[in-house]
Amino acid sequence: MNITAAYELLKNAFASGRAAHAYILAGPPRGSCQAVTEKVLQLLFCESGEACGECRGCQRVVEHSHSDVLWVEPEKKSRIISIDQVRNLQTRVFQTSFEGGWRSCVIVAADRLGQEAANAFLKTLEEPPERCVFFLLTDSPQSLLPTILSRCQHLRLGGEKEELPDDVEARLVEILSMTGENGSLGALGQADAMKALLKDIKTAVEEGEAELAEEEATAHEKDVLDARVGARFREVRTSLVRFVMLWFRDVLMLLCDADALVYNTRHIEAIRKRAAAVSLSQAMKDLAMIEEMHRRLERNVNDAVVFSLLFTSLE
Amino acid sequence: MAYQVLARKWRPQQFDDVVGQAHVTETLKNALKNDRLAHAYLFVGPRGIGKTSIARIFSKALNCEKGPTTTPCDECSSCGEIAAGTSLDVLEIDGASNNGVDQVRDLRDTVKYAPTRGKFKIYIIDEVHMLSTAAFNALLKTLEEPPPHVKFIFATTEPEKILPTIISRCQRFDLRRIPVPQIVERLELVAKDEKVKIDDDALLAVARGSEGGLRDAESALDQLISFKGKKISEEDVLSVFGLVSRALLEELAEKILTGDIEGIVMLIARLDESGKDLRRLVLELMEYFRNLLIVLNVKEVSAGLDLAEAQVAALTRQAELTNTDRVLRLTRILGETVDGMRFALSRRTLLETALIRCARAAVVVSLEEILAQINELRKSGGAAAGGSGGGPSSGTVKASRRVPEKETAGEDQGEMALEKSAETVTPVVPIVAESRAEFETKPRKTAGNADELAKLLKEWREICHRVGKIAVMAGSPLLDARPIDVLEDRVVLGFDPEFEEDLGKFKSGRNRKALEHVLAGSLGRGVAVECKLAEIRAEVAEEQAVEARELDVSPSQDVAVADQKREDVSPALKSMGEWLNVPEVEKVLEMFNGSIIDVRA
Repeated sequence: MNITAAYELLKNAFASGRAAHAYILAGPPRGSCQAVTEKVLQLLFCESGEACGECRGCQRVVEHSHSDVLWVEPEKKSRIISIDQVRNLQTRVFQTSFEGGWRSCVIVAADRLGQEAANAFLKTLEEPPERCVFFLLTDSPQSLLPTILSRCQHLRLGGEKEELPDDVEARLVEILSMTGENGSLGALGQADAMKALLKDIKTAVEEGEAELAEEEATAHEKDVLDARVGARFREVRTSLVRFVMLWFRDVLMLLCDADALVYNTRHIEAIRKRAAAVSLSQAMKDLAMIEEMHRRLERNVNDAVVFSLLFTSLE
Repeated sequence: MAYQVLARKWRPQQFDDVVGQAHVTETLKNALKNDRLAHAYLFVGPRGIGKTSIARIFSKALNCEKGPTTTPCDECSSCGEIAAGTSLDVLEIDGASNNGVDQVRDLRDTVKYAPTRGKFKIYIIDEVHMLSTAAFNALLKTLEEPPPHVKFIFATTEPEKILPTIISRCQRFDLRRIPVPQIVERLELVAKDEKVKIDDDALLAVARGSEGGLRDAESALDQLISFKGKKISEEDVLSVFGLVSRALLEELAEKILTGDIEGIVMLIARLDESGKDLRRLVLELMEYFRNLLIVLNVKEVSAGLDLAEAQVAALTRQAELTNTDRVLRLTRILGETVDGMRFALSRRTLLETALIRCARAAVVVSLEEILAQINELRKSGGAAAGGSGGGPSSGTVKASRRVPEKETAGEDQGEMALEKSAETVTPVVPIVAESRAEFETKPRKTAGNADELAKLLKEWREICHRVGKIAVMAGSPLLDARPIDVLEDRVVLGFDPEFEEDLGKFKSGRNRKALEHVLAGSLGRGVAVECKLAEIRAEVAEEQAVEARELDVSPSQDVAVADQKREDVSPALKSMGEWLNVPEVEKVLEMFNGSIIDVRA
């Protein structure tokens, strides 16, 4: 469902007094999930009660500075939400609210709850205090504990299509279009280009986060900043890999005569070229290979190695 | 009072309210009646089926002012305090948050104090699997011999993480997943009380979706009520939980069975865009094919098999399209896909590739079917076979002669062939060899024994090498044996008395089959192997010496020699790449979705 539909559902739930104490929003955590959460929180904390977006309550929600809303996100370099963070959350939640109204706790990237943290969270999640609502934002709800899943209501927000920044996309398309040309030498060239692209992205992310930290005028510890950069970089990298995957998926779609289902209509010519050169089984093997590459990157295998492997086998 | 979700509101307060766990509640009730109470209980089971609830009811039953009783009154102050979680005698501890050894030490210190008001001091430790090893160990002594007024109740979803020494000190109760009809019954009750109109199909869909957890079912109902109001239909359930309707599932299965790849991807696109849960879809598809398997294999479809009447008709129709082997192959692919979905980069793409694989596996011809076809051909005689020479099956037969299918078959078909390697290959070869003779219509003249023996002796090293590739343990003992006689239906193999123990290795089993397979290939007809002892050592030694002199190579370079010979056999086709261009090979590869991994002369 889209953002408005989800918001309407939640709004009705709160209006009719049937709101659950915990929701899992599945979708891009910092994208549509966060948008819906902020909107609903505005509803709860707005001074006029209709999420005007202008009063102090609403603004503080959007700035993430409201004293009754606790935002929890991975803070360690390992991008794990630690048990200490959960304990802190529990203390906060069981204290009375600062302003006498609702309290809320938003967990961004809930799938990054560590094993211990997730378990420690269970009892709180089952029977939280009154007028307290939890939002768990995640893009892979299936990796949460089943015991957590069964304690929450679920909303699936769509959004698989990834938007990459234009310059990144252009470079990536250029790399992908070369697939299968110039033999193994070409493949290594592609791998190098890919590595350079990732390095540039990382630099950009670092700069962006540093600026953001300055703007917020908060003296974050280095660890927190690192965690944020790491998380953001992985998000961009994942969408980059997904772009690659969808590219080769489009090849497969062309081979299945399902031209209407091609995502990437802008670069259809390059995709057609690839489709003409491979068989159906080769196209499926390519996809399996990309999936494997993704897994390796997630396991912190050296990216140069991963990419050269990938492009050599795509050849 | 603020709104509470249904699961909390309907948390059972009496043993008789607990759904689907009679084996546990009855035992506990009897223990209470007969005063045979253990001092420690462990409740185990998946999420949302009543572990914590039973623990609370049990502590109420123990500490009720009118108790111990099997029906706590829910009126006395003790029951009230326990329900509200404020009792001083019933301590509900979150094992996951208090998992350190220090917390257990604190607990142990309080154990010795008598209860303030009730008869027992009860410690409920929920999520007990998260206690650290040190914490568990610190608990052991207390758990073994606690003071008479102390009861421990543990609840967990993951019993395998608990120390065996802990488990052996407790009475363990395994709670079951709740069957669908009982969930439906309970939901009906809840819906009636909440004044919600919900039809039976919708309830059934909710119950199915909850996979045996009542809490899941109740949260789902709750969510439906808050989203859809007081009137709920099956449509609503399907759309809110992203489930797929029977009809669509049937359509998808049909497309898979007929190999309609374009139709499949189109349908997936439709399902994905309407927000269906794709992982769930795979699971449901798996169940669908499970039902199909039942229809295929069970003559009388009875009630116990959990199949609806309407479904059976559609399934019977689809059963015509396929056979058991193919459906088994499909379920295996789907099984892999479910695992992969958890961490997939793009679930939709994974689903698309998986179902395309399924569609191909559903229409690809299996080895068994080819064999059956060949046998048909053989029965109907060589002339008929020659007549249908252009057909796909005979094409496959010819091609498989050049490239042994065991090696070339790819993922779908290959798994099957590999599993069976020895068993399948052995029958294939004689048949293929014979049918080849039929196709060539030029009857092979039976050469003199001496010629064939000489041929075998000449090729012996290579034969050993090839046998060794099929059955690893068989190659090297063969090097010290020699064929000593070739008859119409068997080859006599001589083993030197020095290697008498090797003889047993070829009496039966894989080694023998491998050897027979290779010999059959080299002689062009199916032969049995007979092994006996013979004085051949001198010959072997001499041969080796001669060879070493002639080729100036040491025995360890046998492989290289074999390779050289092979090149001589087919000088035109040296590399794998060239094989790829042979039309027959190409056809086999496409058909079996395979790739060439080895080329042998």
